Amino acid sequence: MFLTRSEYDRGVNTFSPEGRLFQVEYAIEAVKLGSTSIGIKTSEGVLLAAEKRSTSKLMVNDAIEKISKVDQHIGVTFAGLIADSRTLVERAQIEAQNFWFTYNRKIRVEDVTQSVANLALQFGDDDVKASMSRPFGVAMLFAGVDQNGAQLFHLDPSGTFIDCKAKAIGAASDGAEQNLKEQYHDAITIKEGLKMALAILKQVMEEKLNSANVEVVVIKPTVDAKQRPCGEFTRVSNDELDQVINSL
Amino acid sequence: MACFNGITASADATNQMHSFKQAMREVSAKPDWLSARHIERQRWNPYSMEGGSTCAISGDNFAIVASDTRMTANDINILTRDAEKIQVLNDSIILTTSGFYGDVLQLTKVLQSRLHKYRFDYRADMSVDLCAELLSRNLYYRRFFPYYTGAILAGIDEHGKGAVFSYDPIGCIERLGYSASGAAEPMIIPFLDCQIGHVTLDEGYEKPALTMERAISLMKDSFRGAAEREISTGDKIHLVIAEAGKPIVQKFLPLRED
Amino acid sequence: MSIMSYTGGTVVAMAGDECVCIASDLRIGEQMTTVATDQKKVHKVSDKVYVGLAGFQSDARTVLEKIMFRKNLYELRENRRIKPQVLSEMISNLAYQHRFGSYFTEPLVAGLDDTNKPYICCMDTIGCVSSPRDFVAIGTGQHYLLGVCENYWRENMKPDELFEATAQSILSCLERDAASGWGAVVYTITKDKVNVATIKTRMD
Repeated sequence: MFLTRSEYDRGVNTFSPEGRLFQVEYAIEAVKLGSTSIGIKTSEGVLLAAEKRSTSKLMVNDAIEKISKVDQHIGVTFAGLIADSRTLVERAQIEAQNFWFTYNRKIRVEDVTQSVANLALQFGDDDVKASMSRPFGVAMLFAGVDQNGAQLFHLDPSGTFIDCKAKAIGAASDGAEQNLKEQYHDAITIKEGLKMALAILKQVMEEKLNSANVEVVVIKPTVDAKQRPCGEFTRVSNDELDQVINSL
Repeated sequence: MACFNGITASADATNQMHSFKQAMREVSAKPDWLSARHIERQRWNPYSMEGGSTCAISGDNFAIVASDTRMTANDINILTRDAEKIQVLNDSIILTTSGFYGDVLQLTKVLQSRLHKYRFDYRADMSVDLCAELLSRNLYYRRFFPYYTGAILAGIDEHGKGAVFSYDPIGCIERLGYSASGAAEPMIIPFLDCQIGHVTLDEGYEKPALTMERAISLMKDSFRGAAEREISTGDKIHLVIAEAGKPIVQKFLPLRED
Repeated sequence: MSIMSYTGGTVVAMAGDECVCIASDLRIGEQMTTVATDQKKVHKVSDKVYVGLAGFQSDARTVLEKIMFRKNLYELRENRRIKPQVLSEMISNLAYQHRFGSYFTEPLVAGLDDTNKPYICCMDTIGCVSSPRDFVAIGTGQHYLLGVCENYWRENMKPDELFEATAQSILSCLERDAASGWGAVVYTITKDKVNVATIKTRMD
């Protein structure tokens, strides 16, 4: 006889008889509490757009950072428990710097995602070995440009990561992703991508979209000092955002 | 009573003998004439040099690496006539090292394990460009107790071109067309300067292209010249040839054994 | 830094078929500083006998004067030209007389004897002579030269081949030896004339 679901979700390392790890699944649910983020791979680079949700009128929106820089050529956005994301972003930053230090070259987006994915699974109720007692409650979108061109990877709390063309995470991810599926095409430009991302955010956000409650980063391909393909992380300014938002 | 005195006397003698031996030991361990310079010279030295020479030449789509196979102690005692100083790390990376053989072995193992781990972490074979940077870092990690080695890393780079990287013992890296290291380095380098670098040729003269055949023949000449004059170089030439898109070939060629 | 490399300088000699070549660089330094760029280390002793003096050049000057003194005395007493073999023996003696407190210079002798047989030799600071049949090199660039010469020297070279081999050897050496350089001078000694050529190297 199967026990009820609630009795198998106490320990993070206990499978349910159906073969599920409830804590991990709950962690994936936690992502849906976060504000929405969108990543779009275009023919001219890759962009990340994120909603900045302020819980109070008294909160200063500029202080929220929903898109972090991992390295010159890689950015990451996240949804879920923001505090958890700090640990993961820091791991990504360290890993990128470490690779650069050892090999004098920029790390690939896939490899930085992989290293963060490794950390995502290092949880357990063992005090000694595990650094984290529960799964991380964040999903992340790694975007960047490396020797393989523009890259976008989605990482979820289970440590699974997937190469994507476009992806949405967070509260309105289902609706946003439906829109992305309908509108995305391979020849999309950065300008079109930006407009598409903001249009989708406008549609799914509860608040009215303006340049203060949205954050956009574009990573465009360039070459480094040794003429190797690389990316350039740039935040889209409020003026530019306003322009696009007004044109919607 | 006499018997008792006898025991005391013999015990006295034993004691005296003991302190005499002690004094003898002390004076032989640290004789008066031992100056500070002598003491300095006698200090244990963590390094030794096993001699031998290595050399690498890169061309448009190939890189060849060679070393002799002699290993010596104090430059005159031959320890072995077939020491391996070249390591093929993967299909496109060849490491060759001269100097202190203990460090050579350690450095080789360190690189081999790093390459192995790289395959798992990044799901691809490391390229010679990356390995070159990695080696530089690894050498510098030991800045204040260095690997006593003259390393040369050669292979085929990401663009299919021959590559040779030269190092000093603490990781100063330089990409060159050709390089030599070890006991016969000062003998081989000027010869290659002349034949490959064409440094002695005025502008406007025709400079012969560096084909693989020419590179191999120059390599043989370099080692034959070095073995003629440099005592810790000899026995055999270990020649390793890497050509873009082809498997690495290894050969042993004869060299003088005296 | 050793006194032997204080001023820098390199000399090389090669033997051919009835000809010898002797070459030196032109630099004089005080350790890392170059103080003169026109100082030959090769000196004419007799018609077909030349001596090269590498090492500490202050001592080399004195030694050269002592060599000339003895050689002049020899030629006056014997009333004949000195042979390179004799000169090397003479220099060896001179050097060994200062066994404990030697001159810091390594002499090199190159020349043709009265049957036009080539003779080359070099010695250490206290006069231990080594007289091979192929080539000799002394000075700061010795190691560089030995490697190159080993590859360029052939049996019975004619004067022009010999010149080319010597010139290429010293040029390659000067490329790598920081203590020598600023051009080179090459003497080709044949049975009826001595050809002097100054060649340009990298000037640093």
